[in-house]
Amino acid sequence: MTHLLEVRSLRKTYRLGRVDVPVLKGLDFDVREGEWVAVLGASGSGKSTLLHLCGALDRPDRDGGTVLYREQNINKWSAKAKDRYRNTAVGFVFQFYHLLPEMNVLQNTALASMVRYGHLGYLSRRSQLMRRAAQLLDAFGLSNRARHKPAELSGGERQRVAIARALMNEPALLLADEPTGNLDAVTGGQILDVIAETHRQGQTIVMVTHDRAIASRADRIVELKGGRLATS
Amino acid sequence: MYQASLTSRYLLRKIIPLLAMLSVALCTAMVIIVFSVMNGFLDLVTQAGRKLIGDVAIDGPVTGFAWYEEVLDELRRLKTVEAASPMIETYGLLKMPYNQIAQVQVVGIDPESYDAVTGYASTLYWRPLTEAEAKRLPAGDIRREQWEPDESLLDWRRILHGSLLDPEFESLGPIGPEGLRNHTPEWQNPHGANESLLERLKVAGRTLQTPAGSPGLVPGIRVSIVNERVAGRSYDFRGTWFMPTREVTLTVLPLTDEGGIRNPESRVFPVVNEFAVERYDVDSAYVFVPVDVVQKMLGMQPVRELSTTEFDEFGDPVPTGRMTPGRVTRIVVKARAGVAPVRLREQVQEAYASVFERHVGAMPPPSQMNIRTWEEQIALYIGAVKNETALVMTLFSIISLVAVILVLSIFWTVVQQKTRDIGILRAVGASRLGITWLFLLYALILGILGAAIGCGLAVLIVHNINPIHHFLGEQFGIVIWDPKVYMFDEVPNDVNPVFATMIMAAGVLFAVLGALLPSVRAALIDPVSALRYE
Ligand SMILES: Nc1ncnc2c1ncn2[C@@H]1O[C@H](COP(=O)(O)OP(=O)(O)OP(=O)(O)O)[C@@H](O)[C@H]1O
Ligand SMILES: [Mg+2]
Repeated sequence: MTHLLEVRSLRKTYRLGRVDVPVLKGLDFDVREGEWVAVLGASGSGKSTLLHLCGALDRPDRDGGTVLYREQNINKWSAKAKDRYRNTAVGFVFQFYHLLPEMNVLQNTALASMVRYGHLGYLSRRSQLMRRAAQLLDAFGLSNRARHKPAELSGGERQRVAIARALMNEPALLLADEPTGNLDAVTGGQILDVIAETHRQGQTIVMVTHDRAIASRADRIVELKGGRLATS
Repeated sequence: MYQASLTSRYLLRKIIPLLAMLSVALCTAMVIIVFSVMNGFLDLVTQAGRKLIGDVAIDGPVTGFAWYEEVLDELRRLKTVEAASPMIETYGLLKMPYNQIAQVQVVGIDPESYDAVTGYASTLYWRPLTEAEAKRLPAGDIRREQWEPDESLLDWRRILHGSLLDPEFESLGPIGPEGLRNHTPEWQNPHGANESLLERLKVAGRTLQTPAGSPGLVPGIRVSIVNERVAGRSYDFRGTWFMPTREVTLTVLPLTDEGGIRNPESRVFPVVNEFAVERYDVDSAYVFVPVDVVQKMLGMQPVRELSTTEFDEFGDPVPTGRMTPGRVTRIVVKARAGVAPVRLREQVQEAYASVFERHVGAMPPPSQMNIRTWEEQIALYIGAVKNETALVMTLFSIISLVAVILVLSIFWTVVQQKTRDIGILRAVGASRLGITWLFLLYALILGILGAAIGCGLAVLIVHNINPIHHFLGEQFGIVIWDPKVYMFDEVPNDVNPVFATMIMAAGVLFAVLGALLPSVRAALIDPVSALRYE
C-alpha cells in the first residue's frame, strides 16, 4: 500500500514568554492508504499538535521537517492550496464536537461543501449535496434530527454529526482528536463503531487518544512520547 | 456560500448587532432630515429671490433714475425680454386702522407689468382659488368659501361680523347680507362708494385701484399684527380687524437731490387686498401701492422744467416749456423662456447704455447702476446659506463617525464571541478572505437595513415636520424654526431622492467601514487557538 501521509523529522516548538517549549522533536510518522492508526499519548504530549500539523491547520517550526501528502510537502503550499486541502482532503473530528450553533444538523453536515463551492456552484448542486448530507446522517442514525440545532442534541449525537461533517467532501484522511474524550463509555463505544464502519468502507483514519483501550480498536497504534513516536 | 447562510442566521439570532443597525439608521435619518431641511431652505430662498425680482433688475440710486420709460421701451423691443416693469422702493410708515404705526417697505408697482414679471397676482391672499389651490388649504380657511355673491356673503359675514362687533362699531348693530353688500365699503371706505367687498377683493388687488378709481394699497399678510397665523398657511380673521375693509395712512419721506429729507408726505389708502409670498421678512414689511402715486408722493413725477435764468414778477422761475421726466428706483425684467439670465443681463446693460447715450447728464451713468441677475442679487445671502448647509453637513457627518466606532466595537465583540466558529470554518477549509467577507457581508446587510430604516424614518419625519414642529411648539414651547430668523413660515418638507440615496449609501459605507477592522482581525485569528477557545 502506498503512503498517504509521510511525516519526516517534524518539529514544533511553542514559545511561552521567553521559554521555548518543544512539543514535537523530530517526529517521523507514516500513514498508509486505508489504514486506521491510533496515536496514543499522555495529556500534553502533543497529540493535537501533531494532528493540526497533519491537517495544515498549523505549521511546523522553521526547518522543522516535512509533512508529505501524496508525496507533496503541504507546508510549501500557498494559503489557497492549504485551504483546499483542509476542505477536500482531510476531515477533522474534535473532542468537543465544534458544531456551528446557528446552523441545524443538516447544514452543519453540509458545511464543508458550502465552503467548497461558491454561491452558484453550491446552489446548482444543492439538491445533490443535501442528498449526500442526508445520507450521511441516515447512516449515523440521525435522519430524524436533521432540522435540529446542535444545542438540542446529546453529546453522542453531536459527535456523530461532527463525523458526518468531516466526511461530507469525501476526504482521503479523517483526523479524529479524542473523538470519545467527552463521552461516557457506552456512547464512546458507539462513536468508535461509527468510525470503524467508515474504516471498513475504506476510510483512512488517524485517531488521537490517551486511552489504550480505545486505541486498540485501530489497526495500528503508535505512541507519542517525548516528542517522538514509538510503535507499541 | 456559507457566508450568506451564516449571515442570515446571525441576523435573526443576534441582538447586539441590531444596535449597530439602529445606530446606522439613526445617523442616516439625522443627516437626511438635516440635509432636507437645510437644502429645502436654500431652495426656498432661491425661489423666493426669483419671485420678487424677476430675472434681471436695474437698480438706481435712492433718488431714482430718469428716462426709465425709454429704457422700458428699449427693453420691450428685445426678443429676449418677456416683460419689464418699473418700480419705486422706499421706506414708509403705515398707520394701521387700530392706530398703531408700522414701519414698512413701500413698493410702488405698475400692477399689470409687475405681474407679468413676477407673478404678483398669484401672491394675492384674497382671490378666487383654483380647485387645486383650495384643496391644499386647511378645512377652516375662509378662502375655501365660495366666491360667488349671495351665499358667499353669508360666509364672509363671519369675518366681517368680527369687525363689526368691535366696541367701536357696536352702535351699527347687526346687519344682513344685503346690508353688508351695501354698507361695508361705504362706512369704512369713502373711496369706493357702492362696490361690494368681494368685487373689490377679486379685482382691486390686481389693479391697485378701487372700482371707483381710487388708488389702493396691498400690504403683506403679516403687516397687520392682528392677522393671526394658524397652522398650514391660514390666518384667522374672526373677530379681528379685517384689513380689506379698512383704510390706512401711508407716510413716505421724499428726498432732495442732495439726499436730504423734505416734508413727509402722507396719504390715505383703502386696503384693497393682502398678499403672501410665504417669506416672513416680505410678508411682514412690504406694502404695494401704484407706482405713479408713490412717485408723486416722493416728488419723482414728471414736472415742468423751470428756468434758472428767467423769473416772473413775483420772483418765481418761469417754466421753460420742457418737462423734467419722472424717475423710478428700479426696473425688473423677465427673460423669455430659455434665455439665460446672464445673457439677458448683458442685453439689459446695453439697453440702458444706449438710452444713457441719448441723455448724458440727465441719467446716472451705467457704472453707477446696479444691473444684476436675480442670482447675483441674492448671491451673498445664498452663499451664506450654502456655507451654513455645508458646515452643518460636515458637522453631522463627523458626528456620524460615532456610528462607525459603534459598529466597530460591536463587531469587535461579535468576532470575539465567534472565535471558535471562525476556527471551525478555517478547519473545514474556509479561507482568510472568506472569513473577512463573512463579517463584511453581515455588516453590509445590517448597513443596508439600517440605512433603509433610517431613510424611511427621515421621510416620515420630514414629510410631517410642520405638524411635528407645531406640536412641539404647542406642547413644550420648542420653536426651532422661527420665521423671524428663517424668513419662511413653513419648515421645508421635501426629501431629495438623489441626496437621500447618497446619504443612505454613505450609511452603508460607514457600517462596512466600522466592520472592516474586526473582519480583518477575524481573518487573522489563528485557527488552532480559536479551536482551543472555549
Ligand atoms: N498555543 C500554545 N502556546 C503554548 N503552548 C502550547 C500551545 N498549544 C499547545 N501548547 C502546549 O503544547 C503541549 C502539547 O499540546 P497538545 O494540545 O498538542 O497536547 P495533547 O497531547 O493534545 O494534550 P491533550 O490530551 O490534553 O489534548 C502542551 O504542553 C501545551 O500546553
Ligand atoms: Mg489534545
